[in-house]
Amino acid sequence: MRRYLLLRLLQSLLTILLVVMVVFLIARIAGDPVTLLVTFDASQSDIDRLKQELGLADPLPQQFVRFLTDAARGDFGISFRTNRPAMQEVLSRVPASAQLAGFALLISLAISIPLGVLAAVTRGSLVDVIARFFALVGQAAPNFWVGLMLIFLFSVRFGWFPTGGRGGLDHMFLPALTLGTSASASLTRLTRSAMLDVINSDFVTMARAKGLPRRTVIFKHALRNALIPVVTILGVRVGVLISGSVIVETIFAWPGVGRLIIQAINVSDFPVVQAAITLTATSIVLANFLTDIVYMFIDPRIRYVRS
Amino acid sequence: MSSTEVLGARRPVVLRRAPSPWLAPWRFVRRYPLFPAIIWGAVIVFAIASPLIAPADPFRQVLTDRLQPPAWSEGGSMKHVLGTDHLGRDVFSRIVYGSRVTVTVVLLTVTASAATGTFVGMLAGYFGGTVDALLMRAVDFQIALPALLFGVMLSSVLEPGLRNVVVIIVLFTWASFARLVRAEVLSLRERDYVLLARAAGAGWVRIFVKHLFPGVLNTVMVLATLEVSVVIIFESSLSFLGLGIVPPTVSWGAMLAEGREYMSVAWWLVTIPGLAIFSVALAGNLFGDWLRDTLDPHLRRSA
Repeated sequence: MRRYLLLRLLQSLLTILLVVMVVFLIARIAGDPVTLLVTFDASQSDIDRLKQELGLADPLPQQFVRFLTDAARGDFGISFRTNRPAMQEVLSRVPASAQLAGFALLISLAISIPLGVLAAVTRGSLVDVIARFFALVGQAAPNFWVGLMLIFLFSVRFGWFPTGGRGGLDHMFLPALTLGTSASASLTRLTRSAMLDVINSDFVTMARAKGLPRRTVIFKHALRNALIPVVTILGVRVGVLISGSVIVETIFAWPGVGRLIIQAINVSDFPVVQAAITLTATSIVLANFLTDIVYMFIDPRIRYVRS
Repeated sequence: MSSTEVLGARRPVVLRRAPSPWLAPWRFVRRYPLFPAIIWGAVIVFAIASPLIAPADPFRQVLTDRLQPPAWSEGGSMKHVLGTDHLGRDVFSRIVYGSRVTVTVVLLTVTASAATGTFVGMLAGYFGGTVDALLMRAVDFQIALPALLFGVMLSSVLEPGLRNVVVIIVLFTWASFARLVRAEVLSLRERDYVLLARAAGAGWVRIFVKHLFPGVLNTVMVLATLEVSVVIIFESSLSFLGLGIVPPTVSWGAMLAEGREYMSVAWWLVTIPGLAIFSVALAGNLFGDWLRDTLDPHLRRSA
């Protein structure tokens, strides 16, 4: 078990290293950062001097090692736009993003698990059809469209919620609902099919045969086992959810990391883009790692099989 | 097989209710891919015959006709069935022309990523060992990367436009094909007909083409169909952010982004392109489910 943990940790660290490398390489495709820093009339010797100063004249691998060691210390350079350290810019946006993503995750779990369970135990009923319809629709609806339609209906038409910005719970409801839509849809589908699998297994039949109340069978015997695949996929969904915040935060003018990425891209503020993408991608890799650990604890079979 | 099954003692806990007649339309939709056929049929016809179908030039601006609502809405007319945008351009014509981007992107990306992924998966599964280990690490890495996030970053440094959108989407979708194909090939390569072909001296190219490919084709087709919605949403998200297909090329994602500014006065500018993206994606998923159930009845229960 310890070996498996160690192996997964090593894998996650390697992924993070590769993430940093991809971020570094993409930024290099963008062209020479120096051209962004100098004025049009700068002479070639000025440019060369600046390159020397910034270390851009060194070979690429050397530049990468420097980028990596700086990144490990959280140093991604200075934001072109605000002249503050890029990482500081990003970190100041993290609480807003974390709040939104956390709330979105809560909403999607609160929708998908009860709905999935209800659909499975009343298979073929109207509730089941509604759940399956929701699962289909939720996965096909792009979140920018869902967000705009929610704004149109509940903010513009009915005026129940603010159209954007950060504030109380009412500000958070629509963006969190939007961000959680596709996660809710796929988790509903998964909970339903996992419940159906478990319900038809021998130990559930046994529990029923013993005369246990229906509720005990569903929640104690069936649901606890059905949640195992749900937890597995949760890590993946958290990743999708966090990347989705790029769009949802932009639509709702939510002052988080996702919106910062788009704002920084629009003004070619590369240090901030690099810092934000590295941080977000790292948090997604860590979320996957944590899911695996949780998975290992709730499903003892994994511990034996993999070690 | 457990003994309980043989004895017939195994019963579902929950009683099956008699199918409700009210849900007959739903069952019909699930049984036949009628909805996907209609939607995809329409979109493909739109894309091929855009100039014949579109009632107006999608680029022509008539400022006196700006923000006309759709025909069924108050103040709308049949002249502009789906209304006009903030520059007086005909929305229906723009939807028709926008379908070209959707169809092109879907065809190119799904074919390219299915082909790449299938080849990589076959190599990994058939040769095993170091080849397998290396290729599968690449697959794991691609799957671990948040696609939209890196897609956004990559497209911000590349020239916007169709070619780069296709490249970006393929980069982030091939791995799921590779993973699935590898798993299938692992069992296929031990089959007698493959072993016999090898014993007869067939090279790996021949074995791939003649013996392995037909075996994985069903799986690849199902996944390819299910990937359609992923690709469409990816493309329209990039275009919506102004990083994918950019004007003057008409795309549904960019239409939505433009219409967003006028949402409070012109609901149709956001609703209609969104509905177009949504229906094509939904049709893809429905068709994929149907294809899986049809090609592989074992999976039907969990669908």
